[in-house]
Formats: sequence, C-alpha cells, structure tokens
Amino acid sequence: MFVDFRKLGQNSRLDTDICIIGAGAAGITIACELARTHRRVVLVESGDFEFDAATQALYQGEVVGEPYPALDTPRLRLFGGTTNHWAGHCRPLDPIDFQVRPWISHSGWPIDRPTLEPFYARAQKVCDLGPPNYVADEWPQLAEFLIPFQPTRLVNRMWQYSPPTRFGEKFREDLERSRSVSVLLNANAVEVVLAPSGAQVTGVRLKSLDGKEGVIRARQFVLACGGIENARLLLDSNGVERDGVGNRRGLVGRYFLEHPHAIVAYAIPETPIARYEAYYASVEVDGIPIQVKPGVSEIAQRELKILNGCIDLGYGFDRSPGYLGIYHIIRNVRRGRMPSDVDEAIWRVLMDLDGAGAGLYRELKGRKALWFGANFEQAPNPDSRVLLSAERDALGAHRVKLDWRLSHIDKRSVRVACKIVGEELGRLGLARMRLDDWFLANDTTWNDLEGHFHHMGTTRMSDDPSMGVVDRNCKVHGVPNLYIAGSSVFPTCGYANATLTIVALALRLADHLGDRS
Amino acid sequence: MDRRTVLGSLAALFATASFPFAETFRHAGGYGAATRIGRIYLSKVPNEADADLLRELIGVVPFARESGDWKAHFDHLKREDFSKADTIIVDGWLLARCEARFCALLTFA
Repeated sequence: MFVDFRKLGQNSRLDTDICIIGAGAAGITIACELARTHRRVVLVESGDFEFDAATQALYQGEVVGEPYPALDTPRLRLFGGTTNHWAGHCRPLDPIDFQVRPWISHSGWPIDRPTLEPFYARAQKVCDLGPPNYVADEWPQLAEFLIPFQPTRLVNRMWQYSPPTRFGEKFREDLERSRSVSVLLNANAVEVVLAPSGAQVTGVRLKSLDGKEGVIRARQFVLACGGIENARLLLDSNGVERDGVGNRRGLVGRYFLEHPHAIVAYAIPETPIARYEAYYASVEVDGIPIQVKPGVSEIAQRELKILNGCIDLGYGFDRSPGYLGIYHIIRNVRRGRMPSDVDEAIWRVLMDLDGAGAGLYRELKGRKALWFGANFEQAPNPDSRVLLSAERDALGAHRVKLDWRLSHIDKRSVRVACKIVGEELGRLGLARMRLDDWFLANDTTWNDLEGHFHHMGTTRMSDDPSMGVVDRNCKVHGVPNLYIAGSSVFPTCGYANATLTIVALALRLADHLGDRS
Repeated sequence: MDRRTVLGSLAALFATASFPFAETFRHAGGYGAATRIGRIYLSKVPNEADADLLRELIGVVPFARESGDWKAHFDHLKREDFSKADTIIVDGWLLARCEARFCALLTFA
C-alpha cells in the first residue's frame, strides 16, 4: 500500500514493527522480503514516483577535498532511489576483498565471501541477471573473446549487466498489493530520535516539503538512504548524543570510499584487437550482456602489496554517447540482429549528433586507439569522510559536506596494475602502452579524477566497536534496534560495482530481521 | 615524443633486420627518437653505458648477418622481458629492456 505523507494529519504518529528509511535498492529489497513474513513494515521515501526538483535539491551539499560532481547528481531521491539511473553493471566482491590484508590498513570484513554466497545467488534474481558465475574462463561462449594473459599476473574478471532493474518499477506492484508493507511517500526523515539513555531508537521524525510533520515509532529501524545520506542523517540526529547516533567513537562518516577513475594510459594497437570486444564493449551470451576486464591476480596483489582492481580498456574511434549509440547498433546488425535496447541507442545518437558525426569521421579515417582507465578499490582512509555542512536545507536539516581523499597506495596500485597490463599486451604483441605523465609521478595527485558515483564505507562494518559503526549483522553498535543497509557498511569496497553486494547484504539483513521480529 | 615517432622507431627497430643495424636504423624515420630513448635509458642505467656490454646483453653478435634470425631472436627477447616484467618506462613508453638497450646501443653509432 502506498500512502502520501502530505495527506496525513499534522503531527501524525505512526506505529509499526519495522521502519525502513529509504526506498532504493536496499530498502525495497528488505521491504519485499519482509512482506513475506507478515511483519508490519513502513518503508519511508523522501520522494514520490516521479522526479521532483525540490525534493532532489535536498541532496545538494558541499564538496571539499578531491573534486567531485555536485552531490545532487549521482543520487536520486524518488521511489526506487538511484536505481532509476543505474547502469546495471554487476559483479560480486572477490574473496580477497573480505580478507585482512596486512599491506592495507583497516582492511578486512567480519564476514567472508562464502557467508554472502547464498545471498549473492538470490541477488542475481532480484537484479534480473544470469547464473551466479563470474569466472570468465568457465563461460565457453566467452573463450574466443578472452586475451590469454599469464594467470599469475592478470585474471579476466567479468561483469554481468542487469537490464538494468529499476527497483521502483519492478517492485511497485508487489508493494502496492502487500497488506503488511506500507510505503510512505514524500516523507523526509530528519532525525533518528534516541531514548534519553541513548540505548535505543524510539522513533524517526518526518517532515514534508510542504510543512507536514510526524513521527514514526517502531520496534526496529533500518537506515537505507545510501552511502552519504546514512552518515549525514546519523550525524544530524544529535538531540541526545552530541555527536550523533552511533557515533560515540567518532567513526560515522569516516572511511568514505569511492572507485577512483581516470584515463591513465594510451596505446596504438600493434595488431588488430577488434576481436577482443568483450573488454571494450560487451558481448551477449545467452541474452546476458557481459563485459570483461583484466584484473590483477591475487598472487600479484600479495607480492606487490597493492589494492585489488582492474584496468578498463577502451578501444575505438570515439567515446561520445552519440558515436557509441551508432556503434552499438552497427555491431549488432552485423551479427544479424537488432539490439534489444535499440530505442535507447537511437536516442543517444539523436541527443549527440555532433559526437556521432565526429566519431564516424574518425572511423572512416581509420584512427583507432586504445585507452586505459582505473577501475580500482580505494584503500580505507579515516580522513576521507562525510561531515555536516554549516548550510541547511529546505527542511532545516544540515546539508552534507564531502571530503573525499585518496592516499598513496591508491595511485600506486593503479600504476602497478597498468604496467602489468602494458607488459602483457606487449608480450602478446597486441599493443604498446604509453602512461600519462601525471600518472607516473610518485604522489597522490590525479588528473581528471572521477568517481564512479559509488558511495561506500561511511558506517563501516566491524565486530570491534572501536573500528566500525555496525556489527556483522549490520546492527549499530550500542543501539540494538537500529540497523544500516547499503554500501555505507562496506569496510573495503573492492573494485566491483556496489549494487549486487548492496542487494545481497539487504537480503541477509531481511532474513535476520525476519527471524528476530 | 609523440606516439607516431616512438612507434615508428620501434617499428623500424623490428623491421631493421640486417646489420650493421645502426646504419640501417639511421635511415629509418625514427632514428632520432630511438637515440633519445637510448640516452634517457643510459641516464637511468649508467652502468650499461658501454657498447660492448650492450651488444652482449642483447645478443647482437651471433645474429649480425642473419636477418631472419635476428628478428626472431629479438622478438623472443622482447617477449621474455615483458613476461618477466623486465621493462622500463622511458618518456612514458613502456619498453622491454632489450628495446631500451637497443636504443642505447644506437647512441654509440
């Protein structure tokens, strides 16, 4: 059932068993799972079914530290959350991502990959993916596309593409029909209210942009607002605890992680490498689009004491959206079929006619090139953090301030990996690499640094309350009825896109809550 | 050095199969770039600034007259260097050690 908070009475009080804040991938997944347990659930969403500029503006914030796009662009504040513009790239974290690695400070999860394995398998279905197999060598149809790297140095890592699943669209009807789940739209959580002792949450204060206020009480609460907003809301909920909820150790907001990205090297192929298109485009296997990237082997990571990651390969004449749209159509037509997303491809061409034309010109001239980009994890760094800004939003809440910081090992790891890729391509006679000058400097500076819009780590998981905000069950240390869902609990982030792990952890948390409610 | 120049040099390097190679390479378009690579290499590895040592290290002498053998030998050396990560970055270019040494040898021509 859907309820518009603005249509409830002023200062309304709602009671439920479980209150989930945020209707994105994590929140919707948990709500749908709990719907089967017949627990009373209220799923609170700031937005509505459609995009609203005033609601979205609540995501504006301040950026200090490394450059970062305006904070209201990567995230979406409406039903379905950021999955409304999600690209659909899926891959689980690697086993090594969960391990303590002595050369990486603050590494290690309190759970391991086998613990998450059954939830990853379920997450595949939630995200409309294929079989839960991400070992490229085990897909015979991929064999012709794979570069034969030395496996002690590089491993072919593969991604599956979700359609992409728009969680709001896919699960709207299920939630509409549910008798136990109510979705409260246009309701902004402005404070997590603690009991005077600070030992449990008694409610969450809600506000709408048109001035309606209310409180929701529940036995258990789940914050599922995203990697930045989870931390902001906890920090800004300082009515009882001065530094915010769950923040007695000062860890909330720290260890902000992104997947740093920049173009780091170029090459002219020595021999045609068009056949390896799984690396620079995607190939469809049994209807599942798959992409492959060279990743540093575990052996090399341990030997060279670097982070886990891959190197993106781009190959072609142009990277403009218009040209990529044309290229996508031509490539499929040559194989005797129209791409399933032909309408989207045509739209990209129409929206970028200049780029499409320039790309075609370069293709006719035969000017193809390879470029290499970083697709790496970031090392946990306590100084990389989300804080409260002095500015306030339309609801009177503090806006967020993002201070993203990178450290020496981040750049060094990408440089070492890129060199390995260059050596392997050289060994195979495929291409000769030139690394960008800035990239060779042994420092922490990056040129044209971008994130992947993956916000992680700000309420990290650890069994030790002095090292993490939540425990292995995603329960906030010291606040037994408050849980956190989403990528903010990742203590390390691997290089894989976050959504599949977000959904897997949400399924695990839903099981935990369903057992205990 | 731009990529056209360096790649041209390296292409000439592989195409240059007969000896004395220095003369042949001198006529290839990338001679200047190659000797520049060679000078940079020697500034990084000054203990190899000896033509006889460089000839020995890249095995020039046994193949001096047999162009096909030289190319095969050089390709083999190159693959081995890349495989063992025995590489060096010169002016941004990731080179196999033998390539850099070859360029260094050109500076003595």
